[in-house]
Amino acid sequence: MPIPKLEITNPEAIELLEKIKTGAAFTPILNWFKKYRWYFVGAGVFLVLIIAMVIGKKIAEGTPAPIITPPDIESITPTEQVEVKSTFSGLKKEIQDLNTDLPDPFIPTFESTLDLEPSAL
Amino acid sequence: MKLLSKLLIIPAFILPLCFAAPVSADAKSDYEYQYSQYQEHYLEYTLLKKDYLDNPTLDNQQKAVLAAKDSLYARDLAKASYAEYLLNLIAASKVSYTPINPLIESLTAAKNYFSNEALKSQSIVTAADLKNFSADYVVNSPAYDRSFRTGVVAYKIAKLVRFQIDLKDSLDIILPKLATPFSSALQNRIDELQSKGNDINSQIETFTNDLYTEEGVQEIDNENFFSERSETIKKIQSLQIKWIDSLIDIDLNYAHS
Repeated sequence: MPIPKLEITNPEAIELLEKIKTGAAFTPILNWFKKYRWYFVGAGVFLVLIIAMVIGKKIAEGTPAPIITPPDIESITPTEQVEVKSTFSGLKKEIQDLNTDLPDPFIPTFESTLDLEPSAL
Repeated sequence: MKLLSKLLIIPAFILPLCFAAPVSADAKSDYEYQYSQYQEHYLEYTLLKKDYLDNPTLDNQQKAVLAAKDSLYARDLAKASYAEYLLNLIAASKVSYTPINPLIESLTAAKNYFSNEALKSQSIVTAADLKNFSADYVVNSPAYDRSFRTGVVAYKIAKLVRFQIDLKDSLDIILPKLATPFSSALQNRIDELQSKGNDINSQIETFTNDLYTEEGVQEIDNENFFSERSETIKKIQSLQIKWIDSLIDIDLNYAHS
């Protein structure tokens, strides 16, 4: 059965087809895209970043964080200091503790003249 | 009724005796107590004397005389207890060192003098009595007051002598622990210790005897009396420390237990 040949007779359709063939129908759209191209570029970059973060988060959740511990170092125990003490150290301390300041004990002061005379001042 | 009154009278006499027990247990606290009593009474005396001088009535005069009597009593008891305190400190060193005996005797004399003065002050009745008492006191007391200044030095001398005795005993303890025969180096060190010990003894003796020289007696009341003596005590103390350092060195390096 032969395919019937379609013939477009509508003048508006013919005009539209002509515009599509020549590319004139796309000119306003291309102009609109050109006008807002930087918005599209920005949105694209933002979208890429969001996608990267989501993917990164998914990977991080899937892999547990490694536990980093410092390498073992040999603990140093201080050598015990054996203090050599003489039996006479106590006497030395007694001598050192002697207070050489005088007067020790402090000599109190007293008023020698107690009478009812007016003071000489 | 009579029995009841007797029963009430007996505790009335006994109870005050219980409370009149000594306020302090040792010489230091006794002295501190007496001195605080003096400060209290002296303050009261100055206030009442001022009242009397501002308003010289007989009543005010009598109040001021009584306050002065209380102050004199407290003052002389405080001085006597201070002398006793110094004597106790010297005795605590447990040394029998003849050169300081005159200083100990003068402290004892001061203690007796001030105790007697405290009692004597209680016979004061009038303002004239008070004036005469103070006039005598001003003349006689400085000699006894001076014994306090030499007494505190005597206390330090007793301590230094005590150390000398202990140092000598330490050397006597260590000698049998040293391996014999002594090496020449060790023998030299022991000889040096004995020689230096004797030097320190001489310095303490000279220091003590200087207190009795004419020049030393004149210096007692000087402002720098204590500072000069303190320097000498410090010097002797440093010699004793050097001495015991040397002994400890021998103990650690040569002696066997």
